[in-house]
Amino acid sequence: MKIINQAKGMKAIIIASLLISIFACKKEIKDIGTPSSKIDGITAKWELKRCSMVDELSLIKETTNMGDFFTVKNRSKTQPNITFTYANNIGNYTVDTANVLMNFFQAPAGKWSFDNNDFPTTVIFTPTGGTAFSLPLGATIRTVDSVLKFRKPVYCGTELKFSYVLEFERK
Amino acid sequence: MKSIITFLITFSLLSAKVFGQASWIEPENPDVTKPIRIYVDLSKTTSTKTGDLAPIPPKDSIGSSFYVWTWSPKEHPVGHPLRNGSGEKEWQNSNESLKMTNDATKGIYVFYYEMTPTVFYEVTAADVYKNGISLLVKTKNGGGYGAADCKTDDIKFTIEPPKTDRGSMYASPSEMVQNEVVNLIYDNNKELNPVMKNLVNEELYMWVNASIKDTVTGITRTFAPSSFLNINQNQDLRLVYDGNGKYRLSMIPNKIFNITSPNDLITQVELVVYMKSITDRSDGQPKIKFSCQ
Repeated sequence: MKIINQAKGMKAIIIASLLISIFACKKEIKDIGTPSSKIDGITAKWELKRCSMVDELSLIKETTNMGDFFTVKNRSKTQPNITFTYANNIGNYTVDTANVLMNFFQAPAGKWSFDNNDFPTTVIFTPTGGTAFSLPLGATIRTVDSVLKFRKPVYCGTELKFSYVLEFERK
Repeated sequence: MKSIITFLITFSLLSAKVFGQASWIEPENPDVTKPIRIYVDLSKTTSTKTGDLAPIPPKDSIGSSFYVWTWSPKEHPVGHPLRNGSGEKEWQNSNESLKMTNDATKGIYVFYYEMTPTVFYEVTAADVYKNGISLLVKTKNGGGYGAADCKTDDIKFTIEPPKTDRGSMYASPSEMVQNEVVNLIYDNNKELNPVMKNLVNEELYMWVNASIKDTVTGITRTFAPSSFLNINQNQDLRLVYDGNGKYRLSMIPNKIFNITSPNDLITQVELVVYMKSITDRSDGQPKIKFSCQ
């Protein structure tokens, strides 16, 4: 009888130890808050700061910086800056086109959307009166990010020739 | 005198034989997007661990099989068909796809492995030029796990990008699209005109003369935004100094050549660089073709 009681006691101790171990191992999950809205992240005025061209046919992807093209060669010194807005679930964009040498976004204005509002990798542009096109984001775009980076490919027929790498800074 | 020459020739040949290289790549300056051969002379490789394969392979190695074991620019993951080895002890079971071939014409201990680096490693050419190729040579069962390894020391190949002599003026990117930005580069380091050599941050202008073909009529005309006599008055044609002797003219051909009709195609652009005084000009006056028509 004494042996049976001892066994029961041991069993209780083992179960208690297991429970303690399980709860001791349970990780405390800390609330890291709501993910930063990428829509809020991109809605701002963005100023072109750096621009380069990558030779996609070159073995070493030769890169030529030509950001000064918009300031040195353009006497009005106007950059093709872009502004993203978002209201009533619709995104709109406008580009500074007055006296600008080149507009990378096809039209002075249009609509924009992400491929995925929570985890965007691409911005889809639908220029007013034009055909929709998309540009991959070079990095995540949260409200804390100060740089918006796009890589715009240029094709001749179906062959990729070169790409523009555009870097904008939040104003 | 004759005996001295004979001695020198004999010594040179012996030196080449005795001190020849242990590993090399053919062709010497390869395009890594095309097939190359990686050669290893096992009679000249080194090995720092006792019991390892080299420097001189054991006599019974003649007729044996050797395998490359590579990790740079990229090591393939488990399950990949070009993974170095397979099974629980990969080191003791090299992949048959990595077996080397003996090149008896170069020597009984000379083995090669043929690959196209960008295809084999599944990386870009830039990755290969940046990281080089690292490998060693081993027997199928490389030993180890308490036994002596049977392998060479690590071998690293540094591969320089192919040098392309583009002359003193070229376009970058290399292919131009007439309604996009074009960068025309003037490399003063390659200037042959003595008066214009070694120019640093000099005020230079590029005379550009386009051949424009009307695709409807078939007629070709030429257009230059400025004649060379007043080129120093046109700031659109002034070069920007980018350092290291290189100058750049960035432009959009359709704008600078005043093209408004979609039927007008630029076929080529003639380039000449002038000093501000216009009394001196570049020796090179190339004609760069537009390839995207």
